[in-house]
Amino acid sequence: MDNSDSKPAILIVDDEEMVTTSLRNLFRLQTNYRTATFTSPMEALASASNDTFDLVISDYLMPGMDGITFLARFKETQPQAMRILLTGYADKDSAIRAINQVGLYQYVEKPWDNDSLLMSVKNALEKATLLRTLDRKIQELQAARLSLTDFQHNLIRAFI
Amino acid sequence: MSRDPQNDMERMAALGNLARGLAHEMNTPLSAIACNNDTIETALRRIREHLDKPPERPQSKDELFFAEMINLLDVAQDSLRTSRVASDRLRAFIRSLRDFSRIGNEALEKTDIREPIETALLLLAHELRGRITVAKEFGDIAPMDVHKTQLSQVFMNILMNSAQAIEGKGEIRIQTRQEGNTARISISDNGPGISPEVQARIFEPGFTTKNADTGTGLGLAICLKIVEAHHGRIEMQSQAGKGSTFTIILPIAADPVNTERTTNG
Repeated sequence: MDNSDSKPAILIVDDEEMVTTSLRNLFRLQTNYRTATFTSPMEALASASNDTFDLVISDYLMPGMDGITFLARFKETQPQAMRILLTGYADKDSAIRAINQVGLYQYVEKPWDNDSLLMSVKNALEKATLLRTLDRKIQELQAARLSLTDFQHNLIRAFI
Repeated sequence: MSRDPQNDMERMAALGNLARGLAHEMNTPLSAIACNNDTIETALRRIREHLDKPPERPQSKDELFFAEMINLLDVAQDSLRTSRVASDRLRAFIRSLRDFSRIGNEALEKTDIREPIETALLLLAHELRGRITVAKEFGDIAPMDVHKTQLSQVFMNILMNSAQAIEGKGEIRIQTRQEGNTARISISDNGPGISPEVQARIFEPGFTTKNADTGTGLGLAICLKIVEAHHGRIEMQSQAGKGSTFTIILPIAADPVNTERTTNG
């Protein structure tokens, strides 16, 4: 995948291929987002080690690793990406309890409404962009502060 | 046969559990179909819009026009394929439920014993997914004349017990094999095992170690009646800390007695 691509990148993980394909086609038709889909959370984590995503959408109930654990591990590698959890009705209580564990942006119940999901994703991506911009500004500010401190030291040395 | 309020409560709880699990299982294909319907509709609408205004399009843009049309057709086709997979999944569920509802009315049927096992697994998919790994070692067994749905219920009951015995993640192993004129179906779990006190009472009617909201419905007493009606028996082995194995042993050529009365409670 091309990391230099400026399109927003979304990682979609669900053990049901019918869900990942449906979402991929929805985004392909309605947006310009780049999507990567996985039916295995482990493979998705491996992919996250060499690709950057702005948003991850994960199912909750998956064999091998549940969605909360997956999102928590994904957060370790890409903390700035927004996280959305897809849940079935029966998983709702567990999902709500787990929201704070991984700092979810939102949980979405299945069956989802396409328009609402597209809106949530758009808002989440805007937030991700704002956070990235904020982070970049903070770094620039810190660099400027360091530079100013150096300049101040040099100035003091010049006069002493 | 007199009605036992405890059995009734367990049946209601079982029905509730089953309905919740099935609702969840059907939710995924329904979600996919609903999503794809929108996608296909939008793709077709855009194709129509493109076709309705070709004269405005300059000849130099032909390549872009066809690329866009192919993209839309690809999306529609892939969405349709996914909806078909989802519909097939729903159809399989409904077939299993229909088979399951025939209890008490079904005739003897020449059956591959793996079929009622698979039906039970399908109906329990929600209970098992993400937590229980199911290992199948299906040896060949000659087709048998059985009440297929009743045996599905027996397998479902034992599988549910095994799944509920396992705390957190675990494994259930299902083995089938033929020994002479006998079929042996073993269901093993790696749960904590069953205490000797519970083992002594486990086939007693109405006996349960579960709360009313997790009862499995039929109970092992009725499972045993169904198996005995097929001239078979159920063996149990359990070891503390190592899990339990229930083995259903059925004669391959036998004429089961009608169990309608017992299974209808």
